[in-house]
Amino acid sequence: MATILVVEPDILVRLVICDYLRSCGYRVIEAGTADEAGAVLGSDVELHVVFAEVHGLGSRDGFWLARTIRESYPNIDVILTSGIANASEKAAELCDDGLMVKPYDHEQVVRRIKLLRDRRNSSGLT
Amino acid sequence: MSETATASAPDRTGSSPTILIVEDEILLRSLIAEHLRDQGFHVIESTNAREAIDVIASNTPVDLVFTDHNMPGAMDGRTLVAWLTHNRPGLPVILTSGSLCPAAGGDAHPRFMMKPYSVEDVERQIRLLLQASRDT
Repeated sequence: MATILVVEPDILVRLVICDYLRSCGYRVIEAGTADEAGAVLGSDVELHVVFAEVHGLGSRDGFWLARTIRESYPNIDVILTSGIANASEKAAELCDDGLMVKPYDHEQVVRRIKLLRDRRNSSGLT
Repeated sequence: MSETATASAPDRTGSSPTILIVEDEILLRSLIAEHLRDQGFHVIESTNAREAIDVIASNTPVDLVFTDHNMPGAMDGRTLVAWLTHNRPGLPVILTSGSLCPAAGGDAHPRFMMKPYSVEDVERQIRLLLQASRDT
């Protein structure tokens, strides 16, 4: 089963989506800031998908995180989410299926993760 | 091959104790949290004292708080313990630090664990404190 890094600054949002993903069988690592996400990326933890809020992540935002992953960790898929509508255009450049607008449906997040994993598996890029 | 993920809502009714971990070092926090989850606990991960207060204030059920002392932000672990003692009296708390036990504020008397610790030590102390809490 895939390992998902959830990067979400609001703990009450984070704990609910993380519990849900765990109940679906995923291994989930929780980060509250982009710096924390960077620490996990720089560790020996094998990540498959990063699910990140765009805003409120401290000194760097979710766009920075998505760019970093695209450039340095091409085996990791990124899903960006935000409650701010104008983030959509920029997010579309950085993740293939565009921004997930908050409030999102939890099952919708799992469907997106499964889609990305299936794509990886079928292309042999895992 | 498609990875299977069963979409079902987390069931928290009548389940294992909930531990709120307050630790700003993500790799340490994840390590403890994963071990406790493997042992059957429900774990909430908080990156600082402010988040921990948000969880408690939201009335999310919490059975024990395991908090570091040295954390960024306006509140350290000692201040969080004082807040918990005032706002959630009786809630078991473990305070941890890499240096000698910081004196908790007010009437707070948290259990103290010195870093470095093993995850097994953490689990043991949590079980002991939960048991002591149930016995009183």
